[in-house]
Amino acid sequence: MDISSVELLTQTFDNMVVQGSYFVIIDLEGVDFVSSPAVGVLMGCRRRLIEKKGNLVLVGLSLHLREKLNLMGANRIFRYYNDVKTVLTDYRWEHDQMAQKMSLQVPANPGYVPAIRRLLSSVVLQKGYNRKDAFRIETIIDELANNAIEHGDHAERKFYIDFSLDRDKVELQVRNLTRGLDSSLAQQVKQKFENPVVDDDSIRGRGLALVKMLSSELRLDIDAQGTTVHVTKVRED
Amino acid sequence: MPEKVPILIEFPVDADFIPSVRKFVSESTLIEGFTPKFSYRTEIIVDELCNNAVKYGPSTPGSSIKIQCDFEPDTIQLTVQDPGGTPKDVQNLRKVIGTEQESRHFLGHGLEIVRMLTSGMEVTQTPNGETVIRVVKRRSQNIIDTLTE
Repeated sequence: MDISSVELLTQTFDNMVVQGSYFVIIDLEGVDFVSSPAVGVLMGCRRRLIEKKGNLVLVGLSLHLREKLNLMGANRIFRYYNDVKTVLTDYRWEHDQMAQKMSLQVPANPGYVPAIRRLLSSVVLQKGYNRKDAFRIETIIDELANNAIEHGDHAERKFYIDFSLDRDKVELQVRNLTRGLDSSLAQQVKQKFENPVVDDDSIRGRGLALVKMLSSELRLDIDAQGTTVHVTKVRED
Repeated sequence: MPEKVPILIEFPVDADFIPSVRKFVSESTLIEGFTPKFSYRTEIIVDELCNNAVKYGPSTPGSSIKIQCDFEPDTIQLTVQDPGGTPKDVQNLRKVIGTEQESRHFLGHGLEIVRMLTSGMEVTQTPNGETVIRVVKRRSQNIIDTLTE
């Protein structure tokens, strides 16, 4: 991408802006040189796109090209991606507010709880949530996972987690299998969930109150097969 | 002894999830009694297979990668399923993985490392067109262990 391509670049961008294409991906795979005038044109184009609430990103840079562009300060202006697919995923996350979902089936073994906590908190951190939110989500999942293991049907030896996050909130469902819960016991459990009471003299029972405090919404469903706790946690930063 | 419950993980075709998922699988091997060395190598395997799934799989919203970890006393079987790959891609991959050592093609650094770290590797395709790679890792049965012991 040298000085001879500057005019073509400029023209192409002008056409794009006229057509209303404000999000541009420049694929530099196979390109081993970008001249400073060309970088200047790209910077100018990005500025114009930003004014239209768009953006311009670079993908497919070789290590060599990345180093050359960084020397020109391009890394302070442009975001680099490995490939177009990653850009599209990022775009959908930021602009379409697409929710992304994970699900787990895990052995009902308390030894797994720290690993599950770390999994979910590292995912939210990777997606741009701050440490405070990540810690709160860890606290919530810790309590719910431990409860699911303790109170689930031990013969089943597993429980389930569904996790969905978008830019604004996290939704968590923790489900265990609790066959044989009669309706009056189910009602008691539901009541305890919806109105957790902290007994000052008890060494236990604070977890649910803590989860309720940290969540934006908390709900319990009990059916013939099992118990599902639903939590929504709105992003706070 | 009852059969161990497999771990199932489903996550989006998005590289952002891979570091967390590979760490979780590697921690699971420690919980199940495998050594830190085994755990680290499992992490490398999961990383490579998932990165391939992201790289070669579709990026359509809602598409996902599925991992299953089956633990036995001395082995872990890892199955990674992704929505990508044409039947031709799968056939090529199967041909390359299955070729005799002397004449096999170089798989690419990542898959070669996976092959060195595992006792077996196979690729299949589901009726829905999803690519499934299954690897088996035993406690101490691979080239690297032989070289470092």
